[in-house]
Amino acid sequence: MQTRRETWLAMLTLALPLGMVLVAFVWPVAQFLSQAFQSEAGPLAPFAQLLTVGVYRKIFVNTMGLAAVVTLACVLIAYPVAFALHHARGVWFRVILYCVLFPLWVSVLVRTFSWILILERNGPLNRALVGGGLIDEPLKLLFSNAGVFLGMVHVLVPYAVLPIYTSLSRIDPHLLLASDGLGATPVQSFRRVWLPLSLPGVAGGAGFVFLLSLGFFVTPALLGG
Amino acid sequence: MNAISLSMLIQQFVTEQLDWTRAAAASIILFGTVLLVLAISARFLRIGQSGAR
Repeated sequence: MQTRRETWLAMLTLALPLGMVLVAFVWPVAQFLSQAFQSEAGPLAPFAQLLTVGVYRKIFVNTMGLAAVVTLACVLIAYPVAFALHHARGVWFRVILYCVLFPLWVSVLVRTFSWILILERNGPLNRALVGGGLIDEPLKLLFSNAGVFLGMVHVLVPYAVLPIYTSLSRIDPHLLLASDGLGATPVQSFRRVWLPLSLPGVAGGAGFVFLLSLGFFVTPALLGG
Repeated sequence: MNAISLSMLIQQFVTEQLDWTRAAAASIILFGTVLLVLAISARFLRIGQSGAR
């Protein structure tokens, strides 16, 4: 049973970080957000303007749409990667794991600037497409939704891979042996065992990526123009 | 204007138009959307309940 002294000690230990969060984060954010209700035209006037003016509504829809498309792309890329990671052993496991984790160690700003070099009008991607005869003139990839999409997917894919991998790792291997023993083909085992049991991880990863995409700033600001 | 996102709009309100009122309103809309998505996810994923199954 916890003594009175231990309770006080726990509260005292929590007091400093809690105080710092309140003073350095909650208070300034609350001050900033409270300004939304201090308009001369009325407390809800800025909200009405943002929700009714066409340009602002379009930006909101664009943000939601881009977040949804990025989430879908991240999940579609992350699932095979997580599946391969789950099945890989030894050196291959480490190679795939580091390929997933390494981008997380590099600053988002650096990765986004590297995308600027790749996507620019005379960049390697456009040169390869023109050189390969796929297009007649360079595409406008930079400062467009396509550029923002590519950059965001690149940054956010690891955040989808890790929850899906965790979900796949939790699947009881006996279920797969049972599926195999009952004569299911690999495709049937995937469709009836792997996929349904990994759905919580897929949903978790998708939710995580969607939430990050909604408030993403650096990549859209640099690649979207 | 095509590739602009809500977070970029907030930044524009603050740094270019110096319109903190609308920036705060846009932030509240973004925050509300995030909370809504979290609430929906929690409803379907049963976040916070022991043993997801």
